[in-house]
Amino acid sequence: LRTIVQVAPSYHLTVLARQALGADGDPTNALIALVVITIVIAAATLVIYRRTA
Amino acid sequence: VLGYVRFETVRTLRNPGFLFLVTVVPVALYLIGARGVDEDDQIGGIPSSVWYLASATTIGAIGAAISGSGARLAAERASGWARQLRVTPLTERSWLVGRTLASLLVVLPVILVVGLLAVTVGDVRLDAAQWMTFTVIVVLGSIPIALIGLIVGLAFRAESAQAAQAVAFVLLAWVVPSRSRSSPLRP
Repeated sequence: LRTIVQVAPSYHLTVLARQALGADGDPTNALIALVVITIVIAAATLVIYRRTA
Repeated sequence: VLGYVRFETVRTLRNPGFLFLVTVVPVALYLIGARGVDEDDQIGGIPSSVWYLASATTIGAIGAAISGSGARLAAERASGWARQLRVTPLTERSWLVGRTLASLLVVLPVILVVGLLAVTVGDVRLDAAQWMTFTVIVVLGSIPIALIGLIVGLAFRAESAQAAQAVAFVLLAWVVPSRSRSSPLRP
């Protein structure tokens, strides 16, 4: 369950949004995770787009 | 790319019913969550009303980003429109950028409506820099979710894409960190 949460962009998005409004915590980890997840999903989307051609 | 983004944007804006529907869930979540909270009540170091603003907006953004791309793309594939696009000079990367930007456009009304609600009903007071940072984070943070919507639209047929999109939304909303884990969708 912990792994699922760590790869879920919605988890990191919510953490960052709350911290942008002043919630406690360091946003660095969530920011890095979100960037990495975005790059991986973008690459996967392109691969699937090519395969469905 | 800009021409394609403009085309997709106009297409989305021509459907005000869709824009209305994507704002219903976050509005309901905010009203339910922030109802009757004490002014002094704090969660995670911020007032409850601000916490619920962030939670309801992100859940709304998740729903908007996914539904702004998924099922519609599957329908386009079924109708042959996606095949038509492939014979145009539009590159794969341009298609990806254009579709993602167009999907993100749907997130903006969610931020606007929940923000207005938070200010008027929840008496939330934030400075301009906080609003700007919050908006940028929610929009840019919705990129991977819009991409998941695109994957759903590419991987499923039009008949099943709607259901797959709903499952993806529930899973993504379920992992959102909540004040209480008793209800996964509780903001």
